[in-house]
Amino acid sequence: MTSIFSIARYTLTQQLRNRLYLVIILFGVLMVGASVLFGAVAADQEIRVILDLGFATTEFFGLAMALFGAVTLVLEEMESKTIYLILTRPQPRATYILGRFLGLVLAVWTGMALMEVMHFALLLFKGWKADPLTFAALPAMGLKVMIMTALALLCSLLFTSAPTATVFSLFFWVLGHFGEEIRFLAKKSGQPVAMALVKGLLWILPNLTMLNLRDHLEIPGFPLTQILPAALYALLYTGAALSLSIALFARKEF
Amino acid sequence: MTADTPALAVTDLTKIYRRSHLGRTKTTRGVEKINLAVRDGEVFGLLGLNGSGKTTTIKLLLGLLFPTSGRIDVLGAPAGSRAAKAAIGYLPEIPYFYKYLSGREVLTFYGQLSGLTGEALRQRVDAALDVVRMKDHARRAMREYSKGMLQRIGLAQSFLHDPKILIYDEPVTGLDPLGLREMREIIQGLNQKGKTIFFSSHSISEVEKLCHRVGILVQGRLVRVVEQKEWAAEPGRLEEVFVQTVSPDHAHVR
Repeated sequence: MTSIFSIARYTLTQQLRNRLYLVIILFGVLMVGASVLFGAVAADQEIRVILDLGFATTEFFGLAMALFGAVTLVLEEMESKTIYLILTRPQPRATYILGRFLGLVLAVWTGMALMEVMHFALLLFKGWKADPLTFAALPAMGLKVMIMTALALLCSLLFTSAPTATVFSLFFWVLGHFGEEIRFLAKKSGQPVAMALVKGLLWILPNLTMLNLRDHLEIPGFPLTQILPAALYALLYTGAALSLSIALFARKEF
Repeated sequence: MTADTPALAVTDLTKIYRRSHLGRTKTTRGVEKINLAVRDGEVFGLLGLNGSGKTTTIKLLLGLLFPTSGRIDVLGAPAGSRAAKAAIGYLPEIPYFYKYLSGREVLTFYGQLSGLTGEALRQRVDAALDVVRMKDHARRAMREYSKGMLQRIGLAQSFLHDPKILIYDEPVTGLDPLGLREMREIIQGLNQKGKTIFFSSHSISEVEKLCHRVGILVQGRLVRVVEQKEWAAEPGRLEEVFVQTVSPDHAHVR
């Protein structure tokens, strides 16, 4: 366990010292700032626009950081051979995957938290009245990005090419938001084969809409009790993706 | 493990690389039917031309590659196991490190992965930095280091956790004469402290100065093991033996 935390800590340090990563955070912070300008254009809906745009920007940049980090982290390390010195230490290979994952997720969450601090500061400055659901939307966004980090890590081990792994991760991200629509279309086609295929696909795809709490901010009476099963789902899905990564990594030769 | 257990015991070791592309599988021989026992406390050198299987052998010893057939025991434990990895310190041909970390941070990191903690870890890091004469540069980022400095940090991380066996892949490649001399002194010093050292090299003169025995690899086969007494009395004799052994015109020597 200590070794997992050691790898996580150094991954976090490495990510925070990586200039490209800092540029992404800076860009995200600027985008949140820019939402003020859009808000000004929206007249009486200013706060709503700042709220939505800020969340969207944070999630988008969180996703970018997670994908960029997860896809390049292991592949780059295999290419640069820094991985040799870790894998020759008396630790199971799973330690490496878990430590890298944990460190990267913490780095991405740090970046997202930074953007959200800026976002909420802007909202409060504009006279926004805080709603508990708004704060519940934040960890949900973090959990979505956690799922995507685990999936991108799995893709990087499956495809061993950064562009292919990125494309497949984005594919998971997009389809993960359209599960219900895919199911509806398959039902509408009336084809049993299509329905069976879609059923199988939906087992593989993450259900990211489950974690889209920010979509419900304007709906009165949204049950906060839905947050717990959504969080449990995120943890189970991430665990499954990580288990597959660990199994793949255990058989990998360097 | 008994007193007679060799530090490294390699039995009928074969590694065949299989690469699939568009449904066609291409096989390449890495090493074939290698049998070797490295005695406790000796310095064993592995000589061979490029592509003769030196790095493959080392990666198999470290558990970075898996044998196609055969067996490797490290002080009686199977290669790649935690016990085997705990007994080994490794230095790759070109040491690859995290450029965003300092020399001290890198050593601390590898120390933690080797199970060292607290005061013991700090003391070992200080002692290792002392041995490789890098204490004054320990707080600088690795990206500012010269090749010689990287090699020294590489050496330091290899013996940081006090392993019984040190495996070095081309440790003197690219070093200037002063660096070469320092490296030789450090390796000799480690051997005098009881470490078993197994290393590959292209530099016959260095091998001649350091080794008790030398194995010569030709196209993945260990064709000859030469004892120190065979070259000690006659300078340049090892080079002669090597050329005779690897030259196609002298295949009968094998």
